[in-house]
Amino acid sequence: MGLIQNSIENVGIATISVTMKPEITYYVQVPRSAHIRFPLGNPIGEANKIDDQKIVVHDLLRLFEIIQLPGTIFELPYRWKRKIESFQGE
Amino acid sequence: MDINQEELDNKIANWLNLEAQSEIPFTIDYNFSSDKEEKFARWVMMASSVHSEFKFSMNDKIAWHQPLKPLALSKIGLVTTAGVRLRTDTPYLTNCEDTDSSFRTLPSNPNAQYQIDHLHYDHTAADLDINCIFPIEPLCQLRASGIIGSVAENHIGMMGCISNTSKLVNESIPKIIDILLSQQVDYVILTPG
Repeated sequence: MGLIQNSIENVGIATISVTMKPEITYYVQVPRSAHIRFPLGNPIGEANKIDDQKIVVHDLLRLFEIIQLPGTIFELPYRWKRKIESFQGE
Repeated sequence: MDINQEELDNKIANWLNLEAQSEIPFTIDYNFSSDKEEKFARWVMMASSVHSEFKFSMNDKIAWHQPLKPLALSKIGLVTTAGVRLRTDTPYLTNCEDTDSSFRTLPSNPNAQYQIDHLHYDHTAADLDINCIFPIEPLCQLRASGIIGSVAENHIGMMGCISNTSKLVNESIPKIIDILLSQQVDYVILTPG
């Protein structure tokens, strides 16, 4: 994803990526990245929680203004409280 | 999921304060554990064992475009490497050693029927609600409330962990960039699986 992000940024479109593995993002080097401590498969949050998902997307957009230095990995302070298994059957 | 807006606001304030006081470039806000090299090496070994052609690629230079346009006047696009496509579109190849480096366009329609082909992560949640990985509905709602100006007509879906980067760089990326530029997209959010 880092190669794609850098290429898009290179043509004048500002980009931010979500990462769940910041140690990899750190080595790839991308313009802006938000570390979200959610499980794989849920970068934007839980299923059918549109209000929470909207907060995450809005916060990602707010980071365009906040992050001023290339390579920043910003850790968004969300906490995951549920187990992945709990998605099933609900 | 627990979102504490006050905590985030405090964090941003502290971060900006730290950045202002720093004499060296304050480029990172991740408190890396001392074993980050080990974690990274483990991931490279894992990826190499799955894909014989795997080669870790890093960017030589970080690209940077300083965004100046207010969000309320801007067009936002999405790129997801979670293996998302329209159900009616051609499936991604998942049974070859090289990960499929092709892409699919995803229309701006929260009610479209999506399918996920990726095998590297549990997409149970996203199968129920695609917005977990491809947040098209939240984006449309942010447009409706005036926080962003508009949503791109077409977004990009592709696979992640692509081992054959030369095909990706030479074939897919130029086409993806054309699609984004032709729609005059100002900002892009990229989401993994």
